[in-house]
Amino acid sequence: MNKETLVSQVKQNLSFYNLWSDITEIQTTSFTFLQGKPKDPLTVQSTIDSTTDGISSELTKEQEQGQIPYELVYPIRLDSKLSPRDIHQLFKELEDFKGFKIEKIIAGILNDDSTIVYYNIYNGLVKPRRN
Amino acid sequence: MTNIIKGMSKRSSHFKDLYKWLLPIHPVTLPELIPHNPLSWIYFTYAYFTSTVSINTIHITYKDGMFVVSAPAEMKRLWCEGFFGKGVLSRSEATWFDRTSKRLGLGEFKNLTREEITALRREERKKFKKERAKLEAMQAELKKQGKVDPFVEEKLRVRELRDKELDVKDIKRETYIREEDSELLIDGKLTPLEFMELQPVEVFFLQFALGVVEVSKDGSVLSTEELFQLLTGDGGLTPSNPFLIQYIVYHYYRSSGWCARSGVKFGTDLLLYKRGPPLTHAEFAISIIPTSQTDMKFNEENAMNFIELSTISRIIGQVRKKLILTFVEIPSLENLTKAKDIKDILELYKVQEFMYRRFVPNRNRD
Repeated sequence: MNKETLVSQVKQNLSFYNLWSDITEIQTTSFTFLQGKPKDPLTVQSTIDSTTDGISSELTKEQEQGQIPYELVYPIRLDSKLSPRDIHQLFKELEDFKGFKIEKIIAGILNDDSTIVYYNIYNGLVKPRRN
Repeated sequence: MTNIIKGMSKRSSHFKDLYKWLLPIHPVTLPELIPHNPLSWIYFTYAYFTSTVSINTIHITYKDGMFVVSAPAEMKRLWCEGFFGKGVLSRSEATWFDRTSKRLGLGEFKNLTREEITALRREERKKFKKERAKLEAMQAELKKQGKVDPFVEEKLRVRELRDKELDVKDIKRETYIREEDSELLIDGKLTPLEFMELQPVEVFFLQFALGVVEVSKDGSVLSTEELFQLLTGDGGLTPSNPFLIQYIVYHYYRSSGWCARSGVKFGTDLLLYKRGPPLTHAEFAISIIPTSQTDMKFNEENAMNFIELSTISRIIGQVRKKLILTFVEIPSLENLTKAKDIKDILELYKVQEFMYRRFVPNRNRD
């Protein structure tokens, strides 16, 4: 499967299965990312644990205003490999592109039956969330 | 099988009809033969010679590295008769068209899809979390002032919310329309965007073991050998071919009557259902480990270390499934080259399985 099919399958899944909106492709030197807005904010901040200093305060402010922040998704195939060096490179290229620090990338992992599983990759330590 | 279906009291008759067939092949039913009634002999003989097995071929297209089924009737058949394939815009069964019609306010109120039930459950859980957070904030405030927590009623209410059973009867369906959705509608009608994708192992099982499909690539139909060639890749078949190893295990469990589906969501190769996803939860998760009798380096490369094992085993344990390590013993290259056809090749492989389960000596008694 070529890269375009991979990206478009993840994009379609985000758009028509997870109902994200405003999805665009971001092309850095060596990677393609998808940027979009989820239907509901991904991190629900309840009053008790509003002290999450792991997640940037900017994000919390946006949520207070009822805005949903953009999320960044990196489409990848299940049978490909992702080394710590690759992950470092992902953040580096994205930060160069955006011009600010990126806290989180979501890996959109595509399996051979079109199942897509999403995993958060954080740039450093994050305070655990309450279940 | 009938027991499982019987066990599901409310929806039993509906399910019995819908999932009547275990696989997309239908055996011929002959009339009853009554020894003391010669008329039944005649009828039986007549039926025996006249009934034919009719197989409606399902059409699969290979495109961009995907095996695609797009005729709605064929998608439904593959799903209902053995739970093959996955709707690309659904969790399992292709329900996108239904879901989207409802979301856009186009369709009528029919049964809830599995995705909708999950969404409702999450909504309830969110409500509970919000209430819990409120309560805890009030408690924390009082604690600061050194007072005893008086919120007995509130606590009960939060607990009730947590344990609330999902009531799907009187829910109100809300429409949710985005700008993106305009491209879905042509003359007010919803475009059927969804197709079904099949895994390579599923496609080969349907073709090789059941003979109920027709796979075409670039406009021409592939023979079983051509399909095998496509799936195992170019550059000569080796004993450790990843597709071959996956297929051995898939075929092994499917032919022993299990419904096998991808286990990617739990970090394993396969999930085994007694009957199928809508009827029961998967009971077992399968991790495949190829082994060789002679090549020790191969074994070392493919073995899982205990950290990996414990990672998977904990996940599987948490979702109340049992982890099975399925070892596939690969043949020598010499024997593989001697094999005449696909059946010969498959027969060279051996499968052995082990259950792997965490045991806590002072808690587990069995």
